[in-house]
Parts: sequence; structure tokens; C-alpha cells
Amino acid sequence: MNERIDPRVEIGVALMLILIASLALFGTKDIPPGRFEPLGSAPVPQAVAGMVLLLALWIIVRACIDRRPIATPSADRYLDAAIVVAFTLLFVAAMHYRLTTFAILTTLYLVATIGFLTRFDRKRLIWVIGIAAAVGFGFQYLFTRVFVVDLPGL
Amino acid sequence: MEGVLTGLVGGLAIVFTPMGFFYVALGTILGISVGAIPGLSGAMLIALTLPLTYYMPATDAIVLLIGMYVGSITGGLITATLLRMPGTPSNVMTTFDGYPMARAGKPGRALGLGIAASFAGGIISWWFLLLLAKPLSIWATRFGPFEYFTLILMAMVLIASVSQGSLIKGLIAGLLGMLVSMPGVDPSSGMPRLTFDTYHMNSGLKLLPVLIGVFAVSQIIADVLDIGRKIERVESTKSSIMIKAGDWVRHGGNMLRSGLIGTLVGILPGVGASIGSVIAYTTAKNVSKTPEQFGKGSEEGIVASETANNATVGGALIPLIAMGIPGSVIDAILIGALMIHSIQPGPTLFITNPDIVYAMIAACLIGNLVMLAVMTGSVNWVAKLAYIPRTFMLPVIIVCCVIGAFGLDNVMFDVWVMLIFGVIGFLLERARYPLGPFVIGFVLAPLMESKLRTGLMMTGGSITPIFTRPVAATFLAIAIILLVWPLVSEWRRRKAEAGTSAAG
Amino acid sequence: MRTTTTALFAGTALLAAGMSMATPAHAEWPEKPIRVIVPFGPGGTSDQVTRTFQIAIQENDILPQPINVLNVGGHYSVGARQVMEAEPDGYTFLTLHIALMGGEAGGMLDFGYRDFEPVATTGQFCLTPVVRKDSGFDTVDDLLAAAAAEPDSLLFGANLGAINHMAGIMLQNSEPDAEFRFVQIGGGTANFTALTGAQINASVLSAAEVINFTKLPDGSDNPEAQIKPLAYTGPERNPKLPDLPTMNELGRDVEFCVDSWWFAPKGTPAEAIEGFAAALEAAAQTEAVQTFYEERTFNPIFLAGDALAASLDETWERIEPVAKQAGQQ
Repeated sequence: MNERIDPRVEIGVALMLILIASLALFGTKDIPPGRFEPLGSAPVPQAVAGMVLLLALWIIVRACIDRRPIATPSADRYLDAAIVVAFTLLFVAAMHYRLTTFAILTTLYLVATIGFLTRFDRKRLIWVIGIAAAVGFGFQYLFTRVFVVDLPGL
Repeated sequence: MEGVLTGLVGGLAIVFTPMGFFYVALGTILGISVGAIPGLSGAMLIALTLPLTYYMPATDAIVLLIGMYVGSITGGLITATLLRMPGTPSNVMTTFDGYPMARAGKPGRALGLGIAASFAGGIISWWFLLLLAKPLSIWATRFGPFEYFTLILMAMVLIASVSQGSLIKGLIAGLLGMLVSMPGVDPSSGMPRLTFDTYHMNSGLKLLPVLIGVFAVSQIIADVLDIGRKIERVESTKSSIMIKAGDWVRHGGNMLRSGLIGTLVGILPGVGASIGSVIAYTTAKNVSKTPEQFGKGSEEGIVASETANNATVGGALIPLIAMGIPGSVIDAILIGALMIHSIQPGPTLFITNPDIVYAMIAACLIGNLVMLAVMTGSVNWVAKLAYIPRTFMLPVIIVCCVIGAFGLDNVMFDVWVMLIFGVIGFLLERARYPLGPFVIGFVLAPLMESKLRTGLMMTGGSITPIFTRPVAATFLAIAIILLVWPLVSEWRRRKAEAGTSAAG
Repeated sequence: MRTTTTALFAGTALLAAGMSMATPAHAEWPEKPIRVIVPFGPGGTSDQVTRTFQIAIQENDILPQPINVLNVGGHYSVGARQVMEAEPDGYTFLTLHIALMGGEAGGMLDFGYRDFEPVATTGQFCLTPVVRKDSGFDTVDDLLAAAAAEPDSLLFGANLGAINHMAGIMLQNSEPDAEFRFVQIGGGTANFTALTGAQINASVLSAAEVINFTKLPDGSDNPEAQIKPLAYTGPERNPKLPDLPTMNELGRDVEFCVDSWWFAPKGTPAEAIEGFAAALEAAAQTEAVQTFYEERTFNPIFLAGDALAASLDETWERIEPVAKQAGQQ
């Protein structure tokens, strides 16, 4: 419990919070005061953003002066996670631009992602393709014919 | 009272139609299954199911979701006991005693006690739900905007201060959730704000995409990171897991106490099952004759933790039904589900939609009964779900997340929002910011702001009623104490530490 | 929903077999499925109107192609803009109501009803001013007299900038010097709750909401309800609330009903607009739609073509100043 988080993570996340809070402060600067009550739309988000900003700064200061040992980094597979996220972004972008149907996109995405996570192991590849196609076309059938939810893609 | 009984009979009649019963049972079974798979949570399941319930009748949709709620809290017991992996965050305390007991060769006993305790907790809190919801809702109709404002303020401070980890990070997470809820058309003026001139932002960042992002997508990213981790397992038992009548008597007092604690913690807005089981566990340890057994396979520990976490379900439904204030993260999603079906939760729900209210209450009862039957009958089978290869499961869940985020309103914008919040949620978790306050802040902030501003409209700009109206002033005082107390105790602890280290 | 879907497919298959059933004058249109965007989430009044017409058209084989209803939830401006910017090929339509004019006049939207091709008006619902039973106000005159005697003191619950706010402004404008203090409460249920708890003094609810909140299923009064309606803003008395005088009867020029409008993107071919309007008109005669009107206490009006254009312009003239008052300037 006494180990602290890697200061790079700590400061990086705090900077992200500061960025979000600054965006909110910037976005509310031109809002006029209220007409039905004295506050209007701006003060509440401004107050909340201000508090986030101050507390995040405090986190950064604390991370810089903290002298406790750094938690030993676990043997995480950051590259794997990054590649899965990248595949997912491509998948969503392809649906955004309606490249082809949901079933085909989903099958391709699942083959790529599951295949990658199983290191394209030949013994399992046939399973991967089978399951991917079953999910892709199965979901398309299920959601458009049974539940009548609209699906992204064509 | 009479109205409550007739209402309950009506609710049971709804749930006991073939379809109603089917949905409760389906929800409970799905909830148990998801709870039994580490890395998936009830919040995730319910968020992903929500879009599918659009075209179901409102009562069916709600009873399905309530079944999932009951089931998921219980299902986590299995992996907590056999794998030392809490299926949901609320089962953490169960791992402390369930796993040692299972390793000591009594997995069936550990599971049996946990199931019985879950059922007891569910039933105890169910009585409170039945008896308290209506009187509380009648009281709550008298709440004006200032009462709501201070009540929500209190809830926000409460959730930030009791969530695991540091108070500052809890506060930041809650405030960030509030901030993220602000873009879109401001209800108190009818005009857009923080939309950065993109018209999609007129709708704001919606609950469901944000929720699926921070709970499901971020969890998947985290799961991919340790996909290679080996799971320690204890074989489940072939023998019967039913516990004996004597056990009910022996653990009865503990069950009752833990059930009451769980219910009360559940009623507190914003505080969910995790806290309930921690408090009940600590209390059980303090009053136990054998406190040294806790953490090494104590039966009392399992009973306290599992009774309390199930009891929070019924408890948390009370403020949801009576006031429209969520008692936990899953309740926040349930509110979203009601709104999707054009039902406004709040004190007049008993007048406008009594059928829904009593169907919810009845579903809570039936869900617990189904849970008992399913868990007793198929626990060994359910335990195997933990071994589905995650390399296959995680990408398929991402596809479900995409469908869930898109299916809400049919705009790709929501899918992008979901992905961005998946990454944000992952980063927050890495830096140990609790996500509970984030979601509660996200749900409660719009309500809190608009109640404050409505109050100001009523008084012509004065906030004095916050201090002069007794209920509002009480809530405010509690909020201030809750905020200041951890700081004071932290300061005293540090001072004491400094004193001892100087002396040593 | 499964049954509806099955019906949809069965209907399509039947029609594919016998295209001659389509209206001969519009044999060209429609060649492919029609998409109707509801700019609200599922379950709301707009969604129910649209889906009722969808089912009526399909079950009675009024059009040879299926209609797909798409909910684009969130703020209504998102869905409305999607239709405005859609390809005007005659296969995309929008259902919306007076919020579109309120948004334009109030400064919320940078587009308006003139940026669409009007297709039809199908039905309308009207409103009722409501107060607490123990308020001492028995008529609209009582309420407005009090609002004039002490301006800016009676609290009127509304969703600021929305329909109930505009209706409240029309109400106070009908009495010289009357002035409510408008407070943000929300939609019908929220206002009902606020009235029940005596947080506000008055509000408006739709006729269907009043019936839902104050009557038991058998039509008798619900003793638990603590509100009462004072008048009806429709052109004629509502058959389900026969004791309620219309505002016109009380000598006040407050007619405020919310029409269900159907629009198409600007530039949509006339044959598609006329064809779809004809289908809607036929659907309005079906039992499904008539039952829906009856259940939701709608007035079964139907307008298309020039009558619709005139009605829209007339509504705009009445609503623009009110919406300006409601909007933020």
C-alpha cells in the first residue's frame, strides 16, 4: 500500500485532467449570465473545472516530492494492448465511413484481433476464422432480424 | 400498508406471467454467469443489455435488468472462492476467507455458505425495500430543489470519501465525472454549452457510451495487458453444497446484522455493494469470538461479506424508486433504463407507474429465489465459465460494446465517445483513480446543477433556504462533516506517525 | 417486436408479388425502403406516432416498400440536421413538432422549418393548465388574476425554451400585467411531481398526461392525485375531459396544440412528397391510427400541400414572438 505509482503515469494522467479542465474553462468563457436566475450556464462547469485543475496540480506536486519506492512495474504487455486498441480504431473508422457491411467488418476485425492475440497459431487459426464469421454474421442476423437494433456499417 | 400489499400482488402477477418470469430468470442466470467470469462485471452486462431492451415492454425490460443486478452480485462469489479473483468488486472481501477455505479442502462448504448468505442478504433487504420505498417516496415529494441539491451534494462527498484509495483521487474522479456531464443543451437555459460548435455535442456526452467506455472498454484493455497471467484454481466439489439447518441457526445473527448493514449502506445514495461488504466484514470481525480466523478461512467472514453485498441491492433500490437518486453504479444505469422507456423515476413513480415499481420489487424477490435455485443446482458448471479463453472473449466483447454504444441513438459519434472514454477510464485506473465516483458524478451532476438553479429561480437568486430549511441544512452539515473528517483523521494519523518515528 | 418484424417481411413479400397494389399515379416511387428519422429516443410521443403510422402503412399494404424508423436520440437538433443534410432522393423523412420553431425563434438552431419540404401534419395533442387542488384557483381567470395582482410571484414549472414554457407565456400574455415566474422543472412527470410536492403553483400538462395522472383506469377520479386541470387549449372541448372549457370559450385567444409534422430534405422530388403524404393520409384512416389517436387523446387532423404550408406559416407567426420571449436574449 505504501508503494507509489510510477510518477510518469501519475503526472501524465494529471496532465490529461488539466487539459480537459482547461478545455472546459476555455469553452465556457463567452457564455452570458443567466436570464432566469443569476448563475447562467457558465459558473458551475467553471467551478468544477477549476477544482479539477487545482487538485490535479496538487497531485503533480505530490508526485514530484514523494520519496516512497516506486511500485515494481509488472510484466504487462503494453504493445499488445496498443495494437488491440489500434485495430479497434480501424474497425470503428471503417464503420464510420460505411466501407462495407457490419458482418464483414466484424469478421475481419475478429480474425485480426483474436488471431493476433493467439499469435496466429496455425492449429487454432481455423477456429478463429470460424468463430469470427459466426459472431459477425450471427450478430448481424440477431440484431437486425430479432432485436431490430440498427447496426453501424452499410 | 394495504396498498403496498395489493401493489405487491400486482407486481408478482406481472413477474409471474410466463414472459415476466422468463426475463427475471434469464437476467439472473446471465448475471450469475457474468459475475462468474473475472474481468466482466454486472455494470458492464447491464450497460450492454440496455439497448436490446428498447423494444421490449418497460416492465419486461426492468425485471430483466433487476435479475441481472441480483445475479451478478452473487455470481462473483464463485470465482472469489475458487480462483481468488473477485468476479465483481463487491466480492473482494469474500476472497479473504472463501479461497483459504476452498484450498483447505472445503470448497463446497465455502460456496454453500456464500450462497445461503447471499440469499439471506437479498431477502432481508427486500423487506426493507417493500416497506420503506413508499413512505420514503411520500416524504420525498416534499423535497424542494434545495433539499435535492444538498442531498446530492452529500451523496457526492460520501462516494468520494468512502471509495477505495485516496480522498483526493476520489474527489478528482467525481469532479471529472461532473465536468464530463456538462456539455450539451443546458436544461436550465435551453441553450447549448461546451459544444465547441459541433452539433453532435448538442446531445452532450451520453451516459451509455461513457459508461460502456469506462467500465467495459477500459477493463478489456486492462485484461489484454495481463492476458498471459496464469489462474490459480481449486477444483470445485462434487458433493452437495446445501448447508444444514444448524448452519442457518449458527450464522443467523451474523446474517441479520450484515444484512442490516448492507441494506443501510445500500440506501445511502451513491455507495454501493463494495462498501457494504467491507463494513459488515469488519463489524463481524470485531464482534467475533474468533477474530484470528478472519482471513484464514473464517465461515463468519464469508457470511458477513456475502450477506452484506447482496443486501445492498435491495437497499440501493430504495432511493432509486423513492427519489430517483441512484444508490449505486448499477442503479445509475437502471435510471437510464427507466428514462429510455419514458418513465421518470422520482417520488411520484408510485402514482404514475405503480405497475413498474411493484414489478421491480417483485423481480427483486423472484431474482433472489432463482439465484438460490440456480446457484445450488449448477455452481460447478457455472464455475467453468472462468476458463473461456480470454483471447477469444475480449475481442467479441469489444464488438458488443460497439453495438451497445451505437444502438442507443444510431450515431457513430457515440461510438467514438465510447472509445475515448475507454482509454480515459483505463488511464484513470492505472493511476488508481476510483471509477465509482466518476460515474456517480456523471449521473448526479446535471441533477445537482439544475436543482440548484431551479431553486435560485424560485427564490429570485437567494440561496438562504439551504441554511434555513431544516432538511437541506442537515444534508449540508453532513456533507461538510464527511468532507472534513477524513482530512482531520489523516492529519492526526500523520502527526501520530511523526511522533512515533521521532520517538523511535 | 418479433411479430411486427414478421409482419413486415410478410407484407413486403406479398407486395413484391403484386406491385399493382401501389398507387398508380406514383408507380415510380418508392423503389426502395423508406427511412423515417425520429429525432428523439424510443418511447416518446414522436416515436409512438411515427411507429403507429409505420405499422398502419405496412399492415394495410399502403406502400410497396417497407418503412424503417430510426431513432436518433439525444437533442432533437442532431436528428433534424441529419435529415436536412441528407440526400433529397425521396427516401428520407423526419417527424418533428413545434420544438423546431421554438428552437429557431429562440436562437438555439441556425435552421428552421423553411429548410425542409413539408410533407404532412398527422394529428395533434393539446394542453391543459394545471394547479394544485388546494390552491384556491378554480378557473384560469383566478390563476391569471393572481398572476396579475402579484406579478413574478407565482411559480410556473416548465422546461425552459420548450413547449410547456411557450404555453405558459401564451397563457400569461392573455391577461394584461400577468406575469409568472418560470422555473426549470422539466417535462410532464417532473411538473406533476413538483405540483404534488407544492414546489410550484402551476404548470401545463398534455391532455393525455392529465388523464393519466388524475383518472383511474375506469375513468373515475384518482383520489391520490393532488392536481386539477383548469382549461383546455384545443379548438374544441376534449371528449375525455368534457367538463373542461376551452380557452377560446373563456374569451382568451390561447389555442396551443402540438402538431405532428413530417418533413423531407429540401429538394426532394414532388412525387415522393405527394406519394408519402397520400400514404400517410390513407394510414390515418386505419384502425391502428384511429385507436392510437383515441388512446392518446389526439385530435385526428390531417394536412398536406398548400393547407399544410399555410398552417406552418400561421403557426410560425404565432409562435415566433412567444419563443423569442422564452428564449435567451
